[in-house]
Amino acid sequence: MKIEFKGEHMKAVCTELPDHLYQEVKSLVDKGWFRNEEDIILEALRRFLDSHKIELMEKFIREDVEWGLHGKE
Amino acid sequence: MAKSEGEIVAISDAGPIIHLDELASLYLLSDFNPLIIPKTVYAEIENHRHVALQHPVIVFKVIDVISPPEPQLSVLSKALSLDKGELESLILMHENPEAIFLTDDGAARLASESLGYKVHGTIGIILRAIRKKVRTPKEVVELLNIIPKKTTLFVRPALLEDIIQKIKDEYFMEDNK
Repeated sequence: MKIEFKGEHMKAVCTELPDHLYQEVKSLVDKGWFRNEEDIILEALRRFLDSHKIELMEKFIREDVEWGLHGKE
Repeated sequence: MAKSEGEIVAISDAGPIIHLDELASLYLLSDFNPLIIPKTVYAEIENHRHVALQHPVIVFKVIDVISPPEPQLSVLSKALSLDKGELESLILMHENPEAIFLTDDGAARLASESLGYKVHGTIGIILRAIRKKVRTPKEVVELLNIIPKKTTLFVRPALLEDIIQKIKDEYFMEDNK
């Protein structure tokens, strides 16, 4: 399915959430923090992708390997 | 913060505690004293993996963070979209700059390095067990192998293989899993 949001083409992704996570999402919508569940998932995904740049994560993990095996506290 | 000789202060966000507990390896944090977590992080762990808070050996020092962030941290926090637990952990790092900050979050780690703090994650803690002679290289390889199945920590499979191979090479282990 192809839809549009704020002029941007969107892809629909169907996924499953653990009950407790869904309850948290629903609670944020019920309390008026977000318009709907989709907005929360979109925002969470955007934040995740912003902060998890692959090269950076890989660099951090490789630094950790060196520290773990040969580093000093 | 006053500490005895040889004691290492660590401040953690929720990630490493949850991931290590998923691997039944939370004891690898037992030589950090105190192991500090902000109250917000305690609540996150309680929500997502409360059993980690009932570990028989690990005692968390839980701190209610009231101080506002320093201006530089405030800017970094907004730019990198840090969550409340990560921000509070870094406020505590400002008060304990010699501590080690434990996080698996890329943004929190970037902020921490920008502020000049020592920062490490779950993988570093697991490998450190070899250096500290708490676990053998073989046991550590076994732990690394089960990360994809047992934990919510994501490590690119090829990178995980590289790490495992590095341990095997450095410790002259046979190349069979």
